[in-house]
Amino acid sequence: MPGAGRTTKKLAQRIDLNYFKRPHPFRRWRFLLSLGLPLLALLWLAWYGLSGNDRVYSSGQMSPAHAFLTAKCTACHVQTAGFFSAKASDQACLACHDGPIHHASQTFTPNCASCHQEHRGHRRLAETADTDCTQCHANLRTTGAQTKFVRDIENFGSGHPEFAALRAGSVDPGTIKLNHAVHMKHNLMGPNGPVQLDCDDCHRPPTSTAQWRFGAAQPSAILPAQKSDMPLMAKSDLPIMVSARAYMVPVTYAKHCIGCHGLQFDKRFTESVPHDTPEVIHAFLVQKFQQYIPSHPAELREMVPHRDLPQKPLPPAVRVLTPQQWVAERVAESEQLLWRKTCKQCHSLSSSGNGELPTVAKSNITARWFPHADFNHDRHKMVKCAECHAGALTSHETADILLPGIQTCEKCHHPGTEAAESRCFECHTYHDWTKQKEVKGRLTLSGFGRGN
Amino acid sequence: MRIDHTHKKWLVASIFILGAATAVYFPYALKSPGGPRGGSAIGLTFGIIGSAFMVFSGLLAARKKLPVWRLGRAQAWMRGHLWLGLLSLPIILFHGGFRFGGPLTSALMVLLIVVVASGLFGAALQHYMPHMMTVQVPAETIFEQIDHVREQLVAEADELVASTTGTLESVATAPREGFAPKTQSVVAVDEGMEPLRSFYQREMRPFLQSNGARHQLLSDPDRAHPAFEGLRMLLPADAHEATKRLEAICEEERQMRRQALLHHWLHGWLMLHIPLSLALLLLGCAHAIVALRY
Amino acid sequence: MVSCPTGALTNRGVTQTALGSGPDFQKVSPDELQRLPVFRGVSGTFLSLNQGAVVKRRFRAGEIICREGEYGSTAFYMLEGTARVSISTPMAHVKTQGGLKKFIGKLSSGLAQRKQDHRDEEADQRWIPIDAPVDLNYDNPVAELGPGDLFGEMTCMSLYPRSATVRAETDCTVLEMLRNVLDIMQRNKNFRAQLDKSYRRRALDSHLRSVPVFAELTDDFISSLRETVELIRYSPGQVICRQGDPADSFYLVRIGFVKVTQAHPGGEMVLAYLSRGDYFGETGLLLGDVRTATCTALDHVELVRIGAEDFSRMMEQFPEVRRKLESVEQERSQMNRQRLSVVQSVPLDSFLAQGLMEAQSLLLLDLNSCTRCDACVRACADAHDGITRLVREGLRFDHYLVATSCRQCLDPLCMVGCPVGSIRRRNSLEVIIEDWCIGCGLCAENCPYGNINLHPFNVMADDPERPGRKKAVVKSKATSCDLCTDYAEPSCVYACPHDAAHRVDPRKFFANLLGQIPGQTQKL
Repeated sequence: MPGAGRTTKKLAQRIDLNYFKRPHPFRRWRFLLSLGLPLLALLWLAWYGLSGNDRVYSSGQMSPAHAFLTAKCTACHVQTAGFFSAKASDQACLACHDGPIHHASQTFTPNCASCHQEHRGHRRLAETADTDCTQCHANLRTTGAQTKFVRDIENFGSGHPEFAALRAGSVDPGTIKLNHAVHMKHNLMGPNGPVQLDCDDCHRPPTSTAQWRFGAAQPSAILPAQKSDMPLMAKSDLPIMVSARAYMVPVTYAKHCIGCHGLQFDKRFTESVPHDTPEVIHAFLVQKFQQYIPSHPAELREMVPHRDLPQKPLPPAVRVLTPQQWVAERVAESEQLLWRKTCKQCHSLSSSGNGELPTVAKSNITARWFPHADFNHDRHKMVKCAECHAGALTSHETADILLPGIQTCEKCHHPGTEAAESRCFECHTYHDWTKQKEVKGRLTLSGFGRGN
Repeated sequence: MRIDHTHKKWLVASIFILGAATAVYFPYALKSPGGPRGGSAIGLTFGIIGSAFMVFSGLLAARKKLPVWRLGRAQAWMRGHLWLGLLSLPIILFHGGFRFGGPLTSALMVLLIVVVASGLFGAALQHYMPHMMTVQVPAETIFEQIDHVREQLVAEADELVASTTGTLESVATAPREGFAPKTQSVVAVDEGMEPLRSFYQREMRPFLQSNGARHQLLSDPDRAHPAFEGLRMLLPADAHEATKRLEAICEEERQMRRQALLHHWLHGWLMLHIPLSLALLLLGCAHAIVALRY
Repeated sequence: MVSCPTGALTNRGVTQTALGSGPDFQKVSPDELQRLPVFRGVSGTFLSLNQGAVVKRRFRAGEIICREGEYGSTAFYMLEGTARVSISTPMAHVKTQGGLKKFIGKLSSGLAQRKQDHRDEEADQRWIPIDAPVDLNYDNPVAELGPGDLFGEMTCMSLYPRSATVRAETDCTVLEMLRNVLDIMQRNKNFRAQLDKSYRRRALDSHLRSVPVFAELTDDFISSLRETVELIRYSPGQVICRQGDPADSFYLVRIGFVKVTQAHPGGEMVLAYLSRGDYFGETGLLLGDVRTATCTALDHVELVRIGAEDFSRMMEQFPEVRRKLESVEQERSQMNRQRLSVVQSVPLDSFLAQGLMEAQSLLLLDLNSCTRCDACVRACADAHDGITRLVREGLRFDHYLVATSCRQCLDPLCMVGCPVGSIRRRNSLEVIIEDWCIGCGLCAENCPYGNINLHPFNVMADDPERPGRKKAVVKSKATSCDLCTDYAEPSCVYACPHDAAHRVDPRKFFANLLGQIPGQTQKL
């Protein structure tokens, strides 16, 4: 055993009693590093401090929309009072954006940053989390009276009600009689033989340039311009900006029905009456017959067929009409046909019966079924129409609502990473853009961009 | 410090704190609009608690500088340092919502992770290395005095060789403190001791004075022992006691080298842990001030 | 060394300061010596054979003859002139005191007097025993030596450090002699008679009175004792009285150290060490019985023997003294019984190898937890003005390092040889170092574990070259671990961050290892 023979005293006396006071390389290095590294850290901060911006203190990468502001913290972080009051306030956001209020009866207004989190890296600020919405809608309270909205929505899969349009007892308010099943059937009899209709023969986005198979060959002078080619206005108070291709062109007679459903009125003419109000049709008929009779005076004399009695032939009666009378009779006959058969095939007419023109019920075709949500057909164009609108092929009644229910949507749109987006913002927006105010640009280019 | 049954109270308390923090964090993270944020009320609370833990951990160094002040036993401080320092990592993760953030906050998170990891490493070392040192270095002395003790060993060996071989001038004798320098006298050289003298001059003295250089004959015990055995074979019997003593001195030197190595292992991690933790505290201060501003 | 008859084998460090040469050193011829009355009867042959061993020296007024704390090997015999003997160390003990508030522990060590800082069981004695025919008063430690006085006996015979500083007041002539000469002189009747007379006249008084128990003795009684006491000398190892012998005398220790032991079948157990000013033998006399212990001389011892009749006379005339003696005797018996029980409760074998059996309190460093960080050493130094009283080195026991720090030994070897008797033990068995420690370092040498170190202080002391003026000098005081009695816990244990330092009673702590249930505990 080495050191054997050394007593504890000899061992202790080898040691200089002040050894621990003298710096040993080990301790010296520890001390130097303990000074050096924090100093380095300070220098790092000072370096940034000298370059004038506080970029080092950023709490994360900026979103793509605001990335050009990365070096210009004061664009949003404006110091108001003391040193500790430079939070990014709503005022800063409103300098460039307007964010109109959501609803008049909401109990509180969250500030911009509570839903639109900057410094969270490369993501769109508009993609808010569900929790931003459910902070109210999971336990909905309003300042005023009752609300028709569901009070406890957690996310699209949990608590989100069935679409309002499809709630029990809802019917399609449209008055145009349409039987989808008949129209979609095989060997549908068309004017030139059997046809097979396809969904997009009647339903297409407005930007489609293809010809309508059963539409008017060319715009006819007698067909008035359809109001519904204009940008859509929803029936509700929430007009929503939509892309041009989001919604289908509304179904109109001129584009979609005229090919098969002609409005012939008299054997003397091949043409149809204009698809217009009864007054217009009446005027048209009158004009038509009035134009016709001068060139066919023979028709004024009308053999009135009567029944021969047995062994007592009677000379045929002849009626001689004045042109006005003839026109009136012909018009009445045509109108009879039209009001009672042709128009009635699709429209709901009500006539008082004593020779007055009938009233056609307004068609009430719903242009937008979702007053509070966006839907974009273009994004779904890869799916077969009947996959979502399954009811269309078997619907006989006009009253059937052929809208897919929430369960159809949920087949693809549910929470999870391997599903389509199902967060609130995908279909809904918070801001009421009808109340949007314009923001006047006040910033100069010298504040941004390269070299700053 | 070894973590043993005496830490039970601290362990229980730490688990409790972590559990409470988790119970607070998860509902907050899942429900709060915008997600968990350092600046939200709960996030700020986590930040303050985490910082308090870190500052307390850092104060251990200050406490060690004032060992006699009756501020609580050093063991209590050490236990606090271990457990609260460990807890600071999850608490700060909760504070940041498990995000790293921008340049400064990422640096802080990295620093914290490295500091806690190095601390864990050091704590693990302290479970094994003291015992290892006790077993491997029975001739252990005080680390800072290894050079001083080595000098004394050299002097002892010098004297031993001088007295055994009967020569003085051929061996350089350094005067020892407090003693009058030896009078140099020429004494008849004992021829029989020549192997000892040459071995000492050639191998052993350079070995003792080489300050830890490797790959010497005597630094390997398996080669040293046969060397001494061979030496003993060449020497008369009355020199054997001296060679045994010299061999013991070589063994002490080897053990001191080993001790130095083990000591470096046992304390080396502090070179990382302490400077980085100071940097962490400094940057953390900067972060707290600026984050509250913004 | 003590056994060398010619004094040729002596302390290496002392060689130069012994009998040198120079104008003040005068070789004395044997004839001249024999002309001196004290040398009458000394063999001329002896003197001529040992001519260099005694010299006559002259000192001018104001010169220092010997300094306290220095090692020497000679005694001085005053022929002419007067000299002043004093202790120049400040009459104060090392006290470490804390800062303003109780818990601020940065302690500085200073010197505090007995009056300012009273410690438990501090000796209240007013006389400091020194190596001269007179004792020094605590309040004014100065006395005079005149012709016919012999001083430096303990230094000469037993090589203890000088116990006081002697400075010539007038021009002096002294004889300086080595031990062989002094030895012969001590056996010389004339010399002895003179020393005797001088002692009885001057020192017996103060010596008796310096024993607190005898403070009440009247002058008359002491005068009556003066002629009846005996001064007996013993050589090292000689037995003074044996256990079991009939008790017939009472002893006062004049110089030297006496070991008191009790015999047991397995060996001798040391009960105490007695030094100058202590007394023994009263137990047997009081109980009217036999000796209860064996007393052996450790070095050259001189005792004052008071016979049984004088003793009983003293007891009768001074009941107060009797009462005090009896209470002291009871205390001693109690302590002895305790020691006995402690010894009996633990097997002696495995500890004896390191002498751990001797210890009542060990500072153990658990090597399986200790990270060798030196926090304990720093704490000890911080608590004691920068001088550590603990060294983290030593031998190992089991997986503990037995640190070098006072062990409160049962058999306190440090106390043997203190020239001024300032290192003592309290009843709690802690070592206490009194105010008059002269810093000679003998206790440090005697401690087999190296637990005592000297702490230097800067003090203003009388300038020897310029009397009446003061200059700054460095005075040392011996220090050893005081278990940080001011605090609840020793600072080293308090400051160890890894729970590796323990101050323990080894018998209790290692009870499992030793396979015994620990007995009565001694308060540590």
